[in-house]
Amino acid sequence: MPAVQEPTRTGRTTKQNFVVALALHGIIIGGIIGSAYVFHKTGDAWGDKADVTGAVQATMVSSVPLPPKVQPTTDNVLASESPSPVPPPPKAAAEPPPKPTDIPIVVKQPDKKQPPKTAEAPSPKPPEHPQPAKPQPDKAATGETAGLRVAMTAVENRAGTSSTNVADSAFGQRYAYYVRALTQKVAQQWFTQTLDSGAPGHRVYISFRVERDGTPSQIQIAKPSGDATLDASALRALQRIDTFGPLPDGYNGQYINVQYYFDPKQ
Amino acid sequence: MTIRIQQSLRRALLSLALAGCIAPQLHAQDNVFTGTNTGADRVRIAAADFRGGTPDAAALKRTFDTVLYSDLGNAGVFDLVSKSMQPQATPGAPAEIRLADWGGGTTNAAFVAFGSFSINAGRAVVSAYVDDTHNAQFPQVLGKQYTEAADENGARTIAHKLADEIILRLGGGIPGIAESKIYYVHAGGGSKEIWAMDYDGANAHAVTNLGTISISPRVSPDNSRVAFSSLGKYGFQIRVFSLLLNRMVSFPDSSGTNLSPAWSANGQLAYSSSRSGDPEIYVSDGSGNSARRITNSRGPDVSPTWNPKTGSQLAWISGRTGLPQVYIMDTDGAGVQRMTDTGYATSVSWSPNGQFLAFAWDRKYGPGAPGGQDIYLMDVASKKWIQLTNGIGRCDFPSWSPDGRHIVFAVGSGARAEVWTMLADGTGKHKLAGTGSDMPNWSFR
Repeated sequence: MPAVQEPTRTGRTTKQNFVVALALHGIIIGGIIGSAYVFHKTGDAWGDKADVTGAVQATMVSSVPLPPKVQPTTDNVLASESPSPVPPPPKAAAEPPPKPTDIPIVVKQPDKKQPPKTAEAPSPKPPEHPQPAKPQPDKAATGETAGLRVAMTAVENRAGTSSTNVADSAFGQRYAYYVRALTQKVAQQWFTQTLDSGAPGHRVYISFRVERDGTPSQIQIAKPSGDATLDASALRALQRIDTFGPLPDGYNGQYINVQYYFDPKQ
Repeated sequence: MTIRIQQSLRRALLSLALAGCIAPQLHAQDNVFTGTNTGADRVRIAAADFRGGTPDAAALKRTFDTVLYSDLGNAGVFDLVSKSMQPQATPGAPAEIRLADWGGGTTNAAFVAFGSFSINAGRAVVSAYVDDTHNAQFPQVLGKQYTEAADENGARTIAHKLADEIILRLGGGIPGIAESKIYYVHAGGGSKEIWAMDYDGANAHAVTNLGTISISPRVSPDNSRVAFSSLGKYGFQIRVFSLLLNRMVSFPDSSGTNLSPAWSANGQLAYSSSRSGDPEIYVSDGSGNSARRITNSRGPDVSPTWNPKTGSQLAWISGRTGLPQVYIMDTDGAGVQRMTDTGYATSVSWSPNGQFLAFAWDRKYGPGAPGGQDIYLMDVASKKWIQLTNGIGRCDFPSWSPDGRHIVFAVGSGARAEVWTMLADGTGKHKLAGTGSDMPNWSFR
């Protein structure tokens, strides 16, 4: 049998192994350090060069176009944010302590009147809560702006309902377009950011005159709402307006009286 | 960014065994672009084709219809029904129109403008009516008759007048701009002259013919004179051209460089003059007498503009702190307030309602910065600003329209400049005048 020759192997001494291991470690460490030099970031990190640190540049808006608040329907109890008119569950009536004669003790007592059966204490009737009055709809159910009823147009805007009532009813019928434009112009100028959303929504009635050339004058609060912020915001809306446009040519008077209500719907 | 990626890839290839994190540099682009939509409904109006009377009026009637339609569309206050969505009928008189057709269906217009156009004894006669489609009892809003010469110009004039009247009655009380003019610099043949055109770009014609460099035209509030700066024998001087007399009128010369005249609503003139050695703002009357100096600081003070609402404030560009910035002050020079804080700002214009300043601004100015000069709007009271243009080129020389809804400006520079217009919220940009037009100025009325 021929001898199987084992291939000669150059044995590595421990020292040699150690050196090789050291070299490999060195390469790896040197590579990490080297890559730090090679990949060193020059230039600015994101955001370094900005002149204004932090906040986004402010944008100029004269009024924030808030999305229209969806009015919660009070018909559907589940969808309402305000407490529903469902009466609270009746209070559990306190059980009257049992009278000693409730439990009949069988005692041979002839002619003893049966212990009067006490009727169960009637649980008190649940207190009746006054049902909140359903708000009268002030615009057509289909959502379109109110038709041209006598001298009254309502405009639904993002903040609430504004309505004009022109004292001279013939003007509103004859020049409905002017009343509509007037309503819309005031609604546009009514900024509601300062209004308190938690305050109860009352109406403020402002009366003013529109002169022949369209400038509003004699702006007054005809009926305050009880909320000073709302009153002030309504007054300022009118004061902001320079002109509504000249009164229609066919109208003979020198001015029209307008009563305008502002109603912030919650 | 692509260069960096190539370098990174090369480095990655060189070091396979190493786990190196390469974070690409992100250059955040900060553009602010918002609109000023207040959410109110715009009036929906339909402009019917007018009924033509005689066959020879057909061509002029077509011009009239087109111009009326574009005027109502340009106003920025109407929701104009497109011609394909409205009934094809051409009612000529209030008795002929069927309001139900126009108020419902796809048209759904709140108002209809219609009428008749005919030529009578060499004059174009237009009877125009505007009806309210939702008011069956009293539909008529407007009923007017116009007469002009029976040519292209006459038809355009009638259309402009009618559009202005409709905008005044239905657009919230502010008169229309259809009859306003834009004065601008036209470069050609080695010289720059002052030209004028209608607000929609038509009728462009030369106003001056001096054969030299004339820049920064400004028309007076009563449309009688145009003041501009012209290069004469002794440098740039303020010159005034009378539109009524059709010739130059006198304005006193002064030493130094005199630039950028600006009219106030009551006829005073503010301009920049370097007669003292350093450009300062001077205020004089309309003929140049009683000039008095109102700024007093080192660094150039140029491009003044008045507050059109009050006439008691001036906005101008001052380089007193280095790069030019926007400042405002009272007419006597007191109450100097700085409005911009960085970059390179030029050509400020004050809005007719006194609330806004429009100016050209290069916010990232300097070596290595991305640059880019655009039109910005700034609220005077709060100093908050919006960027109106972006990426259409180098924008400069904004000028407000008299209704405060439009801004005209120049895009490009030098011989390749064009005059563009847009609504004051940055939408509706389109070109008014072709290459070689620069430095536009919208008239007061």
